[in-house]
Amino acid sequence: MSITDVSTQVERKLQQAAGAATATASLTAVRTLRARLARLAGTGVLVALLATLPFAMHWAGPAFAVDYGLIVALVVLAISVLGWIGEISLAPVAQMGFGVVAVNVCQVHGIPFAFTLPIVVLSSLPISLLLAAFTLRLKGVSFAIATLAFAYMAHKTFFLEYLGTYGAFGGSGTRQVVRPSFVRTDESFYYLELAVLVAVALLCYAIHRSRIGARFTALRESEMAFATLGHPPAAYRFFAICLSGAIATLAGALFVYLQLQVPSNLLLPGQAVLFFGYAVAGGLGSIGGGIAAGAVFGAIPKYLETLTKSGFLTYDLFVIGLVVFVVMMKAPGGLAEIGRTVWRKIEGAAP
Amino acid sequence: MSKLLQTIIIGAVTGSLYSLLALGMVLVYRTTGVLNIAHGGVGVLAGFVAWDLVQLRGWPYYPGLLAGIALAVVLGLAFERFVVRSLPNPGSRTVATLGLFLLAQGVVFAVPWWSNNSAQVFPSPFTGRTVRIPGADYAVSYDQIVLIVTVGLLFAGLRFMLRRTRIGMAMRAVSDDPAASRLMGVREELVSPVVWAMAFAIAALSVMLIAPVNLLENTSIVAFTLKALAVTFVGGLVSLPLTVLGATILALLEAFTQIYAADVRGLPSAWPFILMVAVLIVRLIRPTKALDEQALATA
Repeated sequence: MSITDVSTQVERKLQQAAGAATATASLTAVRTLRARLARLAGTGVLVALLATLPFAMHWAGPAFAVDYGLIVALVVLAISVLGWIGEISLAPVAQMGFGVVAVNVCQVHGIPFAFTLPIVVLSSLPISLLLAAFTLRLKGVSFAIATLAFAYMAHKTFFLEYLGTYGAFGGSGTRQVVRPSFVRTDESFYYLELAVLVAVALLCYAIHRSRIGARFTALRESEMAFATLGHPPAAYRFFAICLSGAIATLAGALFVYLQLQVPSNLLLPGQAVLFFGYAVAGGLGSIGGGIAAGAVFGAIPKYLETLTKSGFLTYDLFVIGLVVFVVMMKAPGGLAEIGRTVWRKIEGAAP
Repeated sequence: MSKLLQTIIIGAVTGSLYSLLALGMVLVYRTTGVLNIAHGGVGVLAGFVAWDLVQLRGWPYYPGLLAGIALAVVLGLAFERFVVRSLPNPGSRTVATLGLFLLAQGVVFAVPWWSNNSAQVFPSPFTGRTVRIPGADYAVSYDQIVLIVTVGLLFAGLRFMLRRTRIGMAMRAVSDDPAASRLMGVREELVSPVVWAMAFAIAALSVMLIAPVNLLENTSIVAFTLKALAVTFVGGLVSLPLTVLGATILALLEAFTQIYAADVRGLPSAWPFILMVAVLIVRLIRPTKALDEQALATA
């Protein structure tokens, strides 16, 4: 073979390689464009859906259902946040109760609504401090049991007395919280809840993606290594407990604004087990998954209740239990994992 | 004196109730590392099946009781085969027991003739039969005595099994070091179903013995299970004697405050948390590791 032949062959190979590279580049460009379009369309659909949800779902039932769904989403998010440090808390329902109490105290003292929610968030700190005092040294199952015992104590010793059986703040039967005039209807209240949820979710995203979030992950993976590197595990654990507590207390405040009265039996510790099930079905530790699971498991049963004229109430726990169980078994990463897989397919990326 | 004796008896009965529920949970945790959240839920389900057969379908008491326990055993074997084996670690298995708990609760609520009347009177061959306690103005029912005796037998039986029998030692070996136990010829696939079947059977038996004393009622039995969980904390979730001791202390504290300090409202309900705090303080004074090792040694 002469040098000319060899050079011709090399030239041909180079041309083929260049062609393949061009084709790959074109394919990548198409995929990128498709992903961008999918993201744009997805964001548009999500925004449109969120903006019109209470009205769009009127055929299925009143806006109360979706309002309740957003509150459950906040509670599930509170549970998910503790998943960042690998802990399971069964106290959020009790912390919700303290949110209910804080709103009532604010109203009794005539504090304007604009200050109420910040005060509610601040009021969660002493409770979180009390909880942390006993749980900071605990891990895993012991942590979960301690939070459960705390919730049980809070319910039996405080909420039963303070909220009463009918939720009338002392048992008069008529006293209730007054919603601010600009959120008098359930539809308008939805937008307030949505704003709070979006703000909390963005804050959680910011923390999760920051250096603190990375340290939470490190703490979860190996506390010993984390401490050896000079970071104080107790401080980070305390921060996670406070963040979770603040979110749950905020959810409680919104809950009482929605219901106007919160009977103490709605704050039973067993309820926290159900919410934990939602958090697992959403993907423990996932912000989006937690919110989605909370909203879905909170709102849909309420709509079904209306559609079936309360007939669904007999089967709600069974259906919810079955769905949660199936999601746990088939997708251990929960709704977050399912969402990611579906989204990759829509974007056209390799799964 | 009569009042004191009465209080102690009430405490002993309630302590047996907590112990019965807690022992099943400790067995599972000690041998598999899984916190069985479904314990109370499965027990209530089996209890309602037994109640249905005996009360509504006219089955004799003992076959009905056995049918409820058999259902729990089958459920335990199925759960182990299809769920436990397919999950990688104790954490995910614990979460799966939560799913089972929700499912079991859902079934109980979904059967219309079970939940129509939320609290059912569970039949018992000893209904109405009591024993007067000398020196106390109080009579103990046969059902309460059966409950206390069962706790004693179950405690002794489990302790003997875990310490002296091949299957018990195999359970502990698999839990402590699965790889080493496999090398020693222990077959995990045979040990694990036994643990789950036993645990679910104990859950069923517990509820069927508690129900004649305290009605067959979902919410209260789940509440008892939550208290039993707090009790397991005393024994570090592994020690049978400390668990029974914790259950007895908790029940006595509750009984004494209910009778002697009735004005302090809410205090009896605060005891589970106070007890946990006390255990935590003990652990702070005595290093946790030492306590756990001691608990393991006495399990």
